[in-house]
Amino acid sequence: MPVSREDLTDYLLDELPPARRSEVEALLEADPVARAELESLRSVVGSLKGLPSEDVPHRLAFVPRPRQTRLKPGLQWLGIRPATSLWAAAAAFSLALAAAFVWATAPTLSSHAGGWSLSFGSAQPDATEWTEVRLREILREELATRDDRWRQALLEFAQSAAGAESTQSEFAAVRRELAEMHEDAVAGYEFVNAKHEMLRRQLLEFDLAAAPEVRP
Amino acid sequence: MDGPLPYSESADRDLVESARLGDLRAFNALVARWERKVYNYLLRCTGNRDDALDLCQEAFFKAYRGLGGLASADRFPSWLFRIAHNSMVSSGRRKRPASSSEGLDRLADLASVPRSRLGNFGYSGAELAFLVEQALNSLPEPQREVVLLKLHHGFKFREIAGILDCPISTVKSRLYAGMEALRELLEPVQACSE
Repeated sequence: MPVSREDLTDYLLDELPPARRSEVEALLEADPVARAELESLRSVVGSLKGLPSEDVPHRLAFVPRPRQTRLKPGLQWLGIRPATSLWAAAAAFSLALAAAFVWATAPTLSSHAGGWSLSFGSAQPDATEWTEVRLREILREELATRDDRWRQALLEFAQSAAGAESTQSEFAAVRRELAEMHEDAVAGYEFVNAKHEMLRRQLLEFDLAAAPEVRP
Repeated sequence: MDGPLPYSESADRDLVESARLGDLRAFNALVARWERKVYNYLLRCTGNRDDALDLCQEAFFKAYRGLGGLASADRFPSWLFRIAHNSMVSSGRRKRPASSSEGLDRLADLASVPRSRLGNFGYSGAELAFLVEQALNSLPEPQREVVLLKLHHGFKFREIAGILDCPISTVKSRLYAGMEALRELLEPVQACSE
């Protein structure tokens, strides 16, 4: 079978079945005209393969879906929305923290032979030893736990507030605001702590004997 | 120690499998590997950079969403080009690039000059690429697309048939006709470049 131009093209482009490929190779050996034809086709193929490619003007990249701006139910309940009312959020958080502390420690005031004592929770410690050690422990634990949760909340809040399309500078600004908000919340917590400490000291130092007798 | 290959060195098949499981970095590696080819294919078919970029983005977006429907990860390249082709056709932005009359005139002039008179008049690489581009643009659209997919992108006949959704015989006839036309157009140019 003679070699057609289509055969030569398929041969050049490696599209011939093995049997036909061998036949074409044998015919090419014997036919200088077919070899010249093949070279001509090879030249066209080479020209097309060598065409330059342009760079893509804007590289494509897929990014994860931005975190939803929905806040956790607790924050929604407080009416907080991303990137708004950060100071209000800090104040609300401080109050919530103070309330949580009072709820968690459940302070009770009781009197006994040695005087008055302030106790927390269901435990019944010794009246005087309790406060110096246990109160500090509770405060430290509370603060540490709240701090971790707060850091996590900050991270999520920063990500949702900044969004995927915000610039680095916007993101940095949000982070700065959040850091200030965090400091404010800690200050509020320390304020509650100091008030609590002052109350405790006043109660411990209270001299019941010197107090005016109250008669019904 | 044998560990997983970096994304840039992983095979398409592995990247497709990872991307199917939700690995966005694997899909981005596929994008980085194929975007230039898809973009240039679309650019030569539409003749417009903005259209080519839009369609390229659309094609990758559709590919990402449709990865689950890809029958075999090995077929990712032809599947991706099929998506790009379909996006181009359905958007109506498929058109013939405006061929520079200067380039075609130059080709016609060269074709009319006897080869013996051409002497050592040679073309630079950029000039040659320009003239080849003009010759390619002068082809009818169906021929040009097949020539590009076969000669520039190296797809097999059956893959091109899948991309264009037509019989292999149609792909072959378009390619043979396109190559013949290109050979006639480029023969004098190549004679000058030898």
